Amino acid sequence: MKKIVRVSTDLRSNLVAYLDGELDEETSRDVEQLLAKSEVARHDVEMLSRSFDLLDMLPKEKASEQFTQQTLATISALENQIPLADRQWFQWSRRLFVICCWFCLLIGSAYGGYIAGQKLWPSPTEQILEDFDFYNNLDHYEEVGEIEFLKQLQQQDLEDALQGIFPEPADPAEGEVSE
Amino acid sequence: MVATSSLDIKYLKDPDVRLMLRVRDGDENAFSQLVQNYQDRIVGIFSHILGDHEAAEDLAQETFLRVYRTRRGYQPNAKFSTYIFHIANNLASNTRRKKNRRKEVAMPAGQTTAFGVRPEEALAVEKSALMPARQLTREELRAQVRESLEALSDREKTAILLHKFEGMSYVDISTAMDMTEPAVKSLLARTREKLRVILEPLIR
Repeated sequence: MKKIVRVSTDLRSNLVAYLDGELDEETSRDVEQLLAKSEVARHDVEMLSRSFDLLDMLPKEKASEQFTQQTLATISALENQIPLADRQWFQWSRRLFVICCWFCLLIGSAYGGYIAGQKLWPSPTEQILEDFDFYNNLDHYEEVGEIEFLKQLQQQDLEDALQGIFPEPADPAEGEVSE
Repeated sequence: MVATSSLDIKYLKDPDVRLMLRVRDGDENAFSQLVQNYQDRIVGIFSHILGDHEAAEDLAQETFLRVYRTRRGYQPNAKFSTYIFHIANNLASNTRRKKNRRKEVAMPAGQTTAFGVRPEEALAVEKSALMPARQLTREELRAQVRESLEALSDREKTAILLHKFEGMSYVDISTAMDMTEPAVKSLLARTREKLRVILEPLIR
């Protein structure tokens, strides 16, 4: 009786890849030469091929009719369970809030800088406005003439004097009557 | 915006990749379309791997959920089928690991289990002369083929099913299953040989 000699594991691996069309040209040629020479190899290739074809008999399983709807509904439900921080609208809102904060900070800084600049380097107009009362009463001050008199006024009734209101000089005739 | 590397452009020809890009941009209808395109294929693969249609649907739903959850980071680096079957394979692996932790104990080849002989051994006995010499009906043949698949490990099943029913190349299978191409070649050769041993008596 003719003894059947099995093909080695390496060669068998190539036989399967040959059937699957996964071998390069050179290795394919080697396999074809082997098949031409070896009846065992031919038999194995045929059995490998026919056993693989038998898998076509497996039942074709299909998803149930509700599968699509169920899957989409589950996804929709899960989407609603997404934590607030992971929701897209929240992420956009947070970005917008940060941008607004930076904008406010920028505006605040600009305003602060302007004010500080005004304090450090006042404009001539500002200075004049600040000293407006003085210039307004300049004529009165000039009437006063000397600084000593002004000091005396300051000791007595500064505010009125600064407004140009001087105390009425005492009436000499009145003094005589009382005497 | 879509990245325009040469690799990406190659995969942009895949209509499902284009659908997924629309999903990434927030198009809900595109996602619904993708579910419809792939639900039977994913459920089919999982049914054969798990042998339980309901569990297969649950896992298929989980696959689509994962696709949806990761949509914003999607980059077209592979065919969409490879991408989704990679996710499906990861889920199947996780399920397998959980199942194994709970109850399964691996037995070395050739040993019988506490519950009797291993399925492939049972089939190998059946294929011997003990089997009645008669023509099998189509239903019986189908049952035998179904049983032959049970004799394979989950990895072997996944590889052979992706190759057989999804027409995936070794490269695509290696991407989907996180393996090297030579490892896929070796795995498929081993699997095909197992099937040949089990099914050869039915062919004669």
